[in-house]
Amino acid sequence: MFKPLLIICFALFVGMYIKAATYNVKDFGAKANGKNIDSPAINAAILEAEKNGGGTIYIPAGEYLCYSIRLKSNITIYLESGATIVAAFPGAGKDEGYDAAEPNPDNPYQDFGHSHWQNSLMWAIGEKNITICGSGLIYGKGLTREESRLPGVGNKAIAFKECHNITLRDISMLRCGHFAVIATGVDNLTITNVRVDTNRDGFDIDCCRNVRITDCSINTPWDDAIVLKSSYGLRYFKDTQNVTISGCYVSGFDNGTAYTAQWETDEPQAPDHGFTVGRIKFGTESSGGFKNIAITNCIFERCRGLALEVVDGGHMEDLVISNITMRDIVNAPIFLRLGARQRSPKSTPIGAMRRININNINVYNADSQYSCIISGIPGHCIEDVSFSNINIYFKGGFTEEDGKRVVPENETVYPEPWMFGTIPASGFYVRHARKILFDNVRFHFAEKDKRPLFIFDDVEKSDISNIRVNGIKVENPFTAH
Amino acid sequence: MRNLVVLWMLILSMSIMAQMRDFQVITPELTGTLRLGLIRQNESLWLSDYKKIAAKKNGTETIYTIKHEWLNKGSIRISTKPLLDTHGFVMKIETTDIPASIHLFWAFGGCLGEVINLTGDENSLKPEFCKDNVFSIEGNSFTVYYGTSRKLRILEALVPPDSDVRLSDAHQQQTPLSFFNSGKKNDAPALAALTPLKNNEAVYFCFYKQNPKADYNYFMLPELYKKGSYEVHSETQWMKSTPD
Repeated sequence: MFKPLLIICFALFVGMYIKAATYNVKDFGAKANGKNIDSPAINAAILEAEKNGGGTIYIPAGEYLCYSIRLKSNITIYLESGATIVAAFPGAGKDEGYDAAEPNPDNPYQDFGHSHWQNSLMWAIGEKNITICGSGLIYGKGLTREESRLPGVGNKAIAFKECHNITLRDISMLRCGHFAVIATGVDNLTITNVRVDTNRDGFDIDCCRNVRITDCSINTPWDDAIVLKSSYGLRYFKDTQNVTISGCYVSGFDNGTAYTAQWETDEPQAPDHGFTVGRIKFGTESSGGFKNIAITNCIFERCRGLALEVVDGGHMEDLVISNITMRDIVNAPIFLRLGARQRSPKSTPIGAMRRININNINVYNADSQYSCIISGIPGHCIEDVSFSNINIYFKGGFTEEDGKRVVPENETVYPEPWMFGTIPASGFYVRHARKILFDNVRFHFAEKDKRPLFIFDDVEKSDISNIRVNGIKVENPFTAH
Repeated sequence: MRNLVVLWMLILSMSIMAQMRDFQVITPELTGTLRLGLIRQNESLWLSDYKKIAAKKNGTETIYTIKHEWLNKGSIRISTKPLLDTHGFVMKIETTDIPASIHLFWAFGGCLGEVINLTGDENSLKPEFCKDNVFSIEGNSFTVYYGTSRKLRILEALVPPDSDVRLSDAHQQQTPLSFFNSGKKNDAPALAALTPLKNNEAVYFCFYKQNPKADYNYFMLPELYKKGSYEVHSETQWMKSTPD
């Protein structure tokens, strides 16, 4: 008799405790009707949870029209299946919009989007232990991907600055403005099983330490899918380091059609006029460095190729990129650039790229104009890079005359493969580099390409072995076509 | 009016009956063409095909008054003014006593990015001018990217709320309705849209090159139309635009 009573009392206590730790936003006035602005109710729930030491903000099914949601420490935002947070369009009134972009005097070293965090749908600065999870959707309908500086305009879905212990799990994100997620100066960041289909960048991981990105699908036809950066947005240098990206799919299908599983391909052009983007990239902002990073088991489709860029003074060191397959690549499948744009505080020295291991890469149907590029600048070589087990099916079709082109240095130019014009090599163009190793690299050309397979210019201590074209072993890769 | 010409080449000192032409944004390159039409259920017409439109010039403002059998005894008044702080123009459309069945049709595209000679008699929203125009539509605003990757150009636009805007095929401009229903599978992308018109309620368009003094939202357009300029909130002054 006494024992069952004790169990009931214990169960009631546990139930009360759980109830106390969970805050249903409807209890705070959220209407979930897609018309009311529900962010004040959600923010009230967050503040109440914060006051009580933390908890779960429960967002049941419904459509929650919102401006800025201010995330706090020790909070889990749980988006139930059928729940959608919809970014509202800014209105005409003083309070009808997103939080104002905070001042950042170092704006000129990176673009506006990287320099401000508060003008976002969901943001946190200097907080810790935050999780956003559940099967719901974050729909950035009223966010801009463009350059308006008006008060009230929001341009990012989720923004974290100088936070730690952050997890994003299971959610979907649609049409998110400049960034679906921007994390700047975040330590211990996990993004797992997140689906993104957005009109500019997917995940921007900027000056972050210890990052796990796993099992995510990111469709970003108009900009990069997963981007590691090291900007000067924090107003100090910080490397992006100890990052793994694994099991991810990046693509460039028409906006919104990956989310609806329609996979449309009617819009080949991106706003920058370099065709669909949707890739994994390091840079462009690279004032700090990139250290100790592994990318593995990832898929690229209908997008640009892998781009590793250091142009603002940072050091890129100790990378392993392996087990990647790509199809329908619209520019260089592999692009490594050490440049001297130097959008960093004055006297920042030119950066470095070294100790990079790229292996087990398969590419099908890649555009041939820019082949693959590894280019440092005079006096600043890319060092110690190995390529092994690489298999590339190029479209081909370029002429002997194209093989005679002189490639401009363009040391300070914004890095994209098109910065060099048509590349005179059909396979790899390597310049200002040393200790570059190629082993078991196989090329296939759908159309005959009369440019030389490899061009080395200012390259030292480098080896090429076991090269094949259309299945036939090549004796001299510098004269082979 | 600096380099901008809202090409409405008939400079009139008095009201006359005329044929209305499309609106071209010249900066001095051809930065796009706005075409207007009317839709009544399953019928549609281009205003540029209608030969009896009263046109009047009043300083920098150009005013067109449209009367048509579809409008019964009502009328549509279209007025344009150039912007003072940037290349661009703002347009106001007002209606009086028009039937509820009338929708405004508008199309924009053909951002060529090159200086060309325009005769003024032909439609300058040509399919060949539309190639690689990329439209980013955000509610009732859009941005169009044109030119080349090495010489990229951008134009901003604000259009009436409640417009049903579609990416469409500039090859199919026989009528506004054929344009509106043409679909996005094409090599000549342009925008086509339907906008409901309400009596005694003005709607606005604005096409402009963005700069620190010219950064607009739709609610600003009535004042922008009156003054040709809108003072941007002072908090934005410190935010300098930098390229990515």
